[in-house]
This record gives sequence, C-alpha cells and structure tokens, in this order.
Amino acid sequence: MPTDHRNVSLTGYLATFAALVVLALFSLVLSFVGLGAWAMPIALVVAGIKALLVALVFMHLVEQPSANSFVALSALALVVVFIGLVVADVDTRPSKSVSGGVGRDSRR
Amino acid sequence: MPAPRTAEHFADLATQQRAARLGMWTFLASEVLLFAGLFALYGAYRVRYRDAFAEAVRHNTLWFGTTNTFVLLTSSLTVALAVRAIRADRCGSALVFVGLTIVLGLGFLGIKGFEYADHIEHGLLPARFFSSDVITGPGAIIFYTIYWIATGLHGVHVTAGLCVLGWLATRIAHDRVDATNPVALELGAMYWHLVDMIWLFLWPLLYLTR
Repeated sequence: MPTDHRNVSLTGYLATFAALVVLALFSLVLSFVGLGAWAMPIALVVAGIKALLVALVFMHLVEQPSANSFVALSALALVVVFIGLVVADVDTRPSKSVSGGVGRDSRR
Repeated sequence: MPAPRTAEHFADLATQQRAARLGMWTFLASEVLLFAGLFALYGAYRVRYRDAFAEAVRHNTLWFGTTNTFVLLTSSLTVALAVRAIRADRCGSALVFVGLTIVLGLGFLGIKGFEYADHIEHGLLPARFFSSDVITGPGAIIFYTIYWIATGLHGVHVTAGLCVLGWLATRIAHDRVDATNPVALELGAMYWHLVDMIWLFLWPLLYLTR
C-alpha cells in the first residue's frame, strides 16, 4: 500500500540512541563545571539538540511531509517567544520590591 | 484481520494516515504550549530568586533525575523499534518492544515515587505545605511548588502514555494494528516521545543547573 514514509534503518535508530546517551552524559559533566551565567543557556541548547534528534529520527519527522515540520517549528518558535519575553520582562524590572512585596531574597 | 477502514471523506488510506500524523503533531504542539507556561513560570522566578533556585537544584538528588533520564531515553528507543517492527509486519517483536517500553515507563514512575517519598520525608512540599528547615526562604518554596506541579503534570502524561501503550499492545495482540495499518502505534509512540522530550528539559532545570 502507498505510504509517505520509509523506514529508518536499525543502525540509524541505534546511532541516534548512542548520540542521545553521549549528549546526556555531556549534560551531566557540564553540571559539575562552573559555567556561571552560561550554565543555563548551554544546558538548554544541549537539551534542544537531544529533543531535535528525538523529533527527527524517533518521531520520523525527517520522513514526513514538510507540513508536519511546520507545525513543530511553529510550536518551538512560539515557546521561545513566550518564555523569552516573560523572562526578559522579569529580569529587566527594577530589583526593588514588586507588587505583593516579593523581591530578590538573595539581596535581603 | 479486517481491512483498515478509510473514512469516506478521505480519498484513500494513505491520505487518512498522513492527516492523522499531521493531527498528532498539532496535538503535541498544544501539549508543548501547555508545558511552556510552566517553563515560563520557572524562568521568571529563576531570574528573581537565582541563588535560592540554584540551592534548591543542588538539594535535589541528581541520581534520581539522571537515572530517570536514561530510563526515558531507552524507552524512546524501544518504542521507536516497536514502530519499526510493526512496519516490517513483525508483530511479535513489536509487542515485545511495546512491553519493554511499558516496563521502563513503570520504572520511571517507581523511581519518581521513591524521590517523592524522600521529598515528603524532608518537608520539600509545595506552597504552604513546605516545612524544610535545611533550605528556607520564599525562593525555595516557589521552586518546590513549580517542581511538584511540573513533575506531577509530567507524571500524569507518563501515566496516560502507559495507558495508551497498554491499549496498543492489546490491539497488536489481536491483529488490529499491523504493517497495513501501523498508524495507531506510530501516534502512540509519538506521544511517548513527547513525554521523553519534556523530561529532557525538566532534567537540567530541576537537577543540573546548580
């Protein structure tokens, strides 16, 4: 019967899994390295690479019509805009008390 | 077995299956946006309480979170291999791989259960139930409130994924899902991969960024 996919080879699945394990170990090692302010963005980028591998190979996005990739990329873009704006807003506010008396506890 | 049923508004089965995959991606996108709200909340409070959040992350048991990461990564491989097997009409292999995925998923929940018990014992609970005297302050309380909501919501998704996989296992066993009609297993596997992907972000936020 006609299908719009072709099978990823067994080697492809195992290589992807190996890459995910290596990246997870890399994330773990990074957590013991003092990266300071870079720790969070680097950890999220590595997590993003892992998620991309899962989506492309395990979820077969690479085999499917581009409309499916468009949906996935749209969600990703909206998440980045949403979280980015929220964090930027809070991070650029005056550090004095805000409504409700909540402030930076580390500065108290 | 009965031939796969094509709904009358689709030209053929292949078109119906393509539509099903697109529909699943749309559903998963909405799930991602659900978790995005929690991630935004985490981000907002993390910049507000940098030190308290880092201390709370250091306080979490790295071993629990890391083990669960490898458990879920392995389960993603096994469910992907189940899809590969069903496409090749190896229903027995597909059933074994789905079974392995369910065992790994239950393992994830079991480990999470031990971790929750540890948190409860040490008073690391959400909101007004927080009673730890080891780490204190509003930042720690907010961290563990978000922690319980995020991991709890993720746990609900793991449980839902396990129910779907269990149902799919019975469908495969009764020859209702096979090489001519693998799309149900494909969609179930996609849901399971999403559960894995969400955890790939929760892991660094809750255990690694110390």
